[in-house]
This record gives sequence, C-alpha cells and structure tokens, in this order.
Amino acid sequence: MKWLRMKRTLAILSSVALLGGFTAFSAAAEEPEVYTPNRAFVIENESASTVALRMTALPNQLGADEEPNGPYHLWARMNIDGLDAINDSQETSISLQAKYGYYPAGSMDMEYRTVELCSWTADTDGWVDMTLPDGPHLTLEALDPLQADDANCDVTVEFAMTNAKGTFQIADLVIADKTDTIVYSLANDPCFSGITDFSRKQSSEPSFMWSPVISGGDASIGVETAAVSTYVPNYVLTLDVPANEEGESTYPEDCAYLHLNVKDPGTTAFTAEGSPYTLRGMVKVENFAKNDTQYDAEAIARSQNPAFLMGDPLGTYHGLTGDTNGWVPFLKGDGTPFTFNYDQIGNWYAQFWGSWGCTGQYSLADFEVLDKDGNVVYSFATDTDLVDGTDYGAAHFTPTTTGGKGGVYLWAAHFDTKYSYRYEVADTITEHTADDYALPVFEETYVPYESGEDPTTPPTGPDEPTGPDEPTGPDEPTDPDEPTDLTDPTPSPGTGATLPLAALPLAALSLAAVLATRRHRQR
Amino acid sequence: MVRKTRLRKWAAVLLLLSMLISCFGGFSASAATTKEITLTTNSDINPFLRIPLYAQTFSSGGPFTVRCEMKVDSFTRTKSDGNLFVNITDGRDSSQMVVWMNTWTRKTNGWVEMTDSNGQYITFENINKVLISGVLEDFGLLQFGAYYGDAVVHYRNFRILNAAGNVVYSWDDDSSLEVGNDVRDMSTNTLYAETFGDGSAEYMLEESGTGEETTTTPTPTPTTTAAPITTPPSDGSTDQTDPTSSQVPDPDTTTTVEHDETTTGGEGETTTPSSSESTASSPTETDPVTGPTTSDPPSQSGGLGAGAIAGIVIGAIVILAGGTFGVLYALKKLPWMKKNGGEPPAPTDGPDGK
Repeated sequence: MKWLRMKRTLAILSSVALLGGFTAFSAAAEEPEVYTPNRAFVIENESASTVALRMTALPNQLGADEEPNGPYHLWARMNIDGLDAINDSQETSISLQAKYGYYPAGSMDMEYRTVELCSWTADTDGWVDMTLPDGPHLTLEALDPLQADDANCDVTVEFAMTNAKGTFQIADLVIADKTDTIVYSLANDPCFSGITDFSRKQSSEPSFMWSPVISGGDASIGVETAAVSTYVPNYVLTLDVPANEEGESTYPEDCAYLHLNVKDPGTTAFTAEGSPYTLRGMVKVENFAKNDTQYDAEAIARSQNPAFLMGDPLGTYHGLTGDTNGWVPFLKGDGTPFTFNYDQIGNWYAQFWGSWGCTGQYSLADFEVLDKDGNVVYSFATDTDLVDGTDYGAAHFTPTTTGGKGGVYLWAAHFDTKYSYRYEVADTITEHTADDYALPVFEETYVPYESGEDPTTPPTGPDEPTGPDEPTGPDEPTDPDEPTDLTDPTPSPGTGATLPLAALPLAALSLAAVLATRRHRQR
Repeated sequence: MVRKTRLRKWAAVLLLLSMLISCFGGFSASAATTKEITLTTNSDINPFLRIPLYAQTFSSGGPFTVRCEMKVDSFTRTKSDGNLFVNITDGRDSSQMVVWMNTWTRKTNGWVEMTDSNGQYITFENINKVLISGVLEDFGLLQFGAYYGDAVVHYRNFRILNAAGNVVYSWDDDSSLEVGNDVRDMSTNTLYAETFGDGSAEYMLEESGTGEETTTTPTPTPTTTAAPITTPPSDGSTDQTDPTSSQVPDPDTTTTVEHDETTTGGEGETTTPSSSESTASSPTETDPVTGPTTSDPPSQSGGLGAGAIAGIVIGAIVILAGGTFGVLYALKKLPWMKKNGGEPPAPTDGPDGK
C-alpha cells in the first residue's frame, strides 16, 4: 500500500515536473527575440499626423554607375511597439512605399510613379524581419543611369507613420542589387556617424540620402549605433556655449567657430606646393540643446535648425544635431576627410568647425593638418599658443606670429555673447594611428530569400499592398498570377505558443500511468 | 565648229557651276555665327554664369525679354535635387532675393530656348535699384548654370530685347567677350563665371554657327507636378565674419550675394537657413534704352531667324534658275539660240561601239 502510494505520488510529481518544464521552456520561447542592431532608426511618435523617413537614391548610389542595375532587394529588421491611433476616426498605419522618377518618352520633365510595398497595423512583439507576409524580401525596381525614356532614374523609399502613435524601429537596412551584393547599408552609412537625433537634418553632403519628415505634432527620430568609441583624446579644445537664461542681458553665442590660418602672411605654415591639405581629429558633442537666444533676428533664425558643424557653413559641412555619445571622427558626411588647397582659399582663413544656433559643449581633439605627403603641418600638440588648462573666455583669440604658426583662431560672430573656449591636455598621452580617425565598419551580409523559408513577418495591413515582386503603378492592375495575399488572412509571427500544447500528450501519458497503477492495485 | 560648240557647252556648265557655288558659298558665308559658351562642370558642384543687369542699360524700355538657346549634351545628377537652373535677382519678389525661373535635369534633343518653367521667355521690368544682401544696388543679376550634376551644357545667341523688340545687349555684339577664351580669364564686367564649388569647371567661349535648328521649347509644366526647384548653393551659415575687419570685401567693388534655401519635403519640415557668397562687379557704361511697352511674344518653336529663311528662299530660287538655264541651253531653247542653228548633235555611239 505504502509502495503503491509512493508510486502514485512519484507519477504525479513526474507529470507535474514534465508539464512545468515544458511550460517554462515555452514561456522562454515566447519572449521577444533579443536583437542588438548595428544601427537603427527609432521613430517615437506622440501626436504627429505624419512621421516619415525618406531615402532618395540615384542610380550611382545603388551600384548603377554606367549601366542599369537591379531589381534590388530591400531587407531590414523592424520593431513596432505601442501602435495606436492618434485620431480614432481615421485609419492608422505604418507603410512603406517606393516612388520612382522617370522621364516619359520625349519629355524633359520628370514624373513619378508610386508603388506601395507593404504596410503594418499591429505591434510586432519584438524584432522581426521586414519581409512580405509569406517570406520573400521586398523588391525595388531597377534603376537606369542613362535616363532612357520611361526608365527609373531615381527611387525614393519612404517609411511613414500615418495617424500612428507608438514606436517604430528600423534596423540594419540593406539594399542588395541583382547579384545580391549589398549596395547600401544603413549601419555603414557614413552620414550617420555621430548622428543620434535625426528629427532634423543639417548637412550639405550630397550623398546623404535620408531625410526626416515630421508634421502636425510631436515626434522624434533617433539613431542608435552599436559601436561605442573607445578613443582616448590627448589635446582637447572645447567650445562651451551655455544655455540661455531668461532675464539675463548677455545671450549665448549662436555662431562660434574656428578658423585655420591659411594665408595670413608671416604666420601661415601652408603653401600652394604642400596642397592639398587634410584635416583630421575627433569631435564630441555633449548637452546639445537649441539656443534660445534672442540676440538678433539672425540668431533667432539660426536657432531654427541648430547643429554643431564640421566643415565650412558656406561650403561643405556636416551638422551634428544631438549628443554624439562619445568621440567620433572629424569627417565629411561621405566619410572622407576635409581637405583644402591653398589656392582655393579665397580669403586668408578657412572656417572649418563651429556652432550654429545651439548650446552645449563641442570638443575637438587631437586636431592635425597634414600636407599632401602626410606630414603634419599643424597640430594642437605643437601649438604653443594653446596652453593646457587655459580658459580663453569669449575674447577673440588670434594666434601669435611666433607660437601659432598656421594655427587656429578662436572666434565667434559676436563679441558680447556668452561662450568660451577651453583647452586641456591629458595627463597621459595616448599614441594614436591613422586608423583611429576612421569610421568603424560593420560586417554585413545579405542572404537572399529562398522559397519555403518560414516568415517571421509581422501582421500586415488589411487592404494593401501590391506585390513588390511585380510592382505596379497606381493605374496598373495587379498581376493576377502574382497573388499578393492581401485579402487572405495574414500569418501571424511565430510566438512559441504551440509548445505548451506539445506538453499535453505527455501529461496525459503520465496521468494514464498513474491511473493504470491504481487500477492494478484494486485488482 | 565642234570645238566652238564644246567650248560653249563648257562655258555653260562652268557658268552653272559658278552660280551654284556662289549661291551656296555666299549663303554659307552669310550664315549667322554666334558666340557660344560651353559649360563643362568637371567636378565642380555649382558652376554658373552671371550676367549683371545694369540700370544704366535697363532702367527704361522694359519689360525686357531674355533670349538664349541652350543645348544639354549630358547631365547626370550627383545629388537627388541636382539640376541645371536659371534664376534672376531683380527685386520682383520682396520675400525672396533670388527668384528661380526654371530647372532642367535631362539632356536636350538639340538646341532649345531658355524659358521659365511655364515655357515663356524670361522677362524683367526696368532695373533701377535692386536690394541685394541688404544693399540697394544699381543692377540686377541673371544667373544660369549647374547644381550638383556632371554636365556639358552649351549656351548661345544670348541677347536681351527691349519692349520694342530691339536687341539691347547681346553676347555677339559684346566686344569684351573674346572668342577662344574661358570666361574666367576675361576682363569684362558684362559676364562672370562663378562657382560655389571647387573651381574645376570650364566656361569656354567659342564661335559657332546657328545651322543647327532650335527645337521646340520645353512644354509648359503645371507647377503642381514640376520637380522641386532647388537652390544651387549650400545650406548653412549666412555669416562669414572675418577674424579682422580689414578683410571684409571692399563694398565698392564687390557685393555679397546670399540666398536662402528651404528644404524640400513634407509639410511642416524645417527650414534650413543658408547662404552663398559670390561677387559681382560694379556696373559700367552702356546706354539706356527707351521704347514702347510691347512685349515680344515668345515663339514656341524657336526655329530659324527671318534672315536665314530669306537666304534659303533666295538660294532655292537661284538654284532653280541655274538649273532651268542649263536645261534650256542643252535643249537650245534659249532665246538667242537659233531654232535649228548651232552645231549638230554629236553622233552617239552605236550598239557596237562604232
């Protein structure tokens, strides 16, 4: 009897253990996938009727330099969280569309044709692949650099949240060409180096393909990049523009900047023979904020699009519109260094670094100018006009003829505003190589979709899109041979919910064993 | 006798030939030549030509009409909003200093007329004082060139007509524009080669014929579907404060020109303050022009000028006359020839060659 009870208890316990184990396992499987993007856009929309990210690419920017390329595949990871309507009476969606520019036969005017690629109307419960509901990757049509009649001459890809509150993330987007070679990678797009806030764009860089759009309310577009800089600076010049204090008579400076002494006779170290010269260093932005100065109309206008600038505001420049979260290379938007030719400097100085309608601390570290042979012509390290621990205040500082040969002017647009330049040297000097001033590179691969792969696609909208494999214009009918699945129930993403069901037969088996034991004893 | 006949025949043929030659030779010699500027961008992102519209010349007699033919051999954008453009600064719009007239983004099928975005010739009113960068200047500015594009563009037959249709200024009549030179190397105050780029562009001025017809002007495009008009120069600062005040450009000889840019995109996008700097020299001579205020209606088909058409007609008449003369001479039907006179026709060879 005692033995029998023991057996029965054991059977029950084992059943419970089995069930518990499977339940725990399935619960773990249900948790959202842990995914750390190399780089992601984070769109957070509170009330904006439309928030969008547009990427306009010319043929040569997608590997079509001399002849047509494509069709292309667009692949990314995405995460939708807290999606809800801003206005309950209107439709809510997150959509992706491609707009192609082309010249109709004989026309000089470009026309556009829009293709709806996909849309989503529900949370994704974590990171999922951005694909069609049944698995295939999204397709972009071929581009033609020769501008033939009716051929696509450019494409604008647009992600848009319409009447949609919540968070929408797009990560590690790549575009692969007809040979499955990656021709664009968000993670390796040099334009986003040091950019953490992309709610605004402030850059003259022609290769900067993305643009933010926020209208009709509050929203933000952030950029998160995985690489964390480990750069240890030695010689640091920091521009500090304090916040505007209401009631104070002195306003924060809205445009402070450094000049490089290129042509000041007697004090310059640069020559036509040494050209072209290359600038290099590292920059960092902290405590970035809009400058609320009311100094004058120009200052107020500048504060409408604040940024700390790399480069010449009147020429090529790239704006940092938020904190950089550490040191980033001092480079143009295309990832190449700023350069200049002695003969091309119209005046005797070159403006290359400064503030624009913002407050915060903007630092330049280990700045150097190299000649055409790579020799250092000027550097913070050897500039005897810059003294460790000195706060140069708001005075316009001109390098002396003896110590600041080829040096920098610490300057600003106004004399009676609040700002300061501070120079500091590290206690311990760290050796750096040229590689330290380069952008990090993420290794990325594109794996083409193969028929039969399980999709991990989120639910899509009920009434779009046309199938991207056979993209059609607004006036063209969808190919009946290419069903788009749009009217069919869309498969839900795999959540792991089937696992507990698998435990049930086992539990039943255990229970049966218990019952069998009991029956055997009764006999 | 036979010899004399042959001589006469040869004389007739030579006469006919000389008539034809003189006709075509004369026609081609009289065909108009024009000064043509070829803009080759190379790696320059924003090269353009600037034409000062001096009050001395254009203070009365307007409205004036700008006529210019352009031919785009090649154009490849290097930025999504790259284009070829024409703009004007003449004070017509108090809200914007530089007014954008038209843009092009594709090579043309031969020569086309430079027009505004509605397909109309660019016109401007009398120039008196024009507000440029906060300073009232005695001139306006007309500018055309390239913005972020690899391009080879030709401009020719540039002229400005007053309301009466008379040419007030033209490249062809401007002796300061020396053929065979790059505009950058010229000492003139009527045309400037400017850039906001790296200066690698070429602006070669050469003489060319107008034999190649101008094709139809661009079809007017509704503004709602037109490509966004883009400003050439960069976004960014309007400020370029000098470290020392002594470096400020001399206001007597140079003028800072700034223009604002609004980023294109969706509703509610932010506006980017921007500017560009360039210089224009002070105006000099040229007589003011007066005339009635009737505008020169633009031709939708460019085409040949009246002189060229007249030349063709006269040439055709001469050719026909020459041909008729030859035929009549061969048939001995000319009035001074005897009906049955002259030399008997030369015997033709028989089938056997005998």
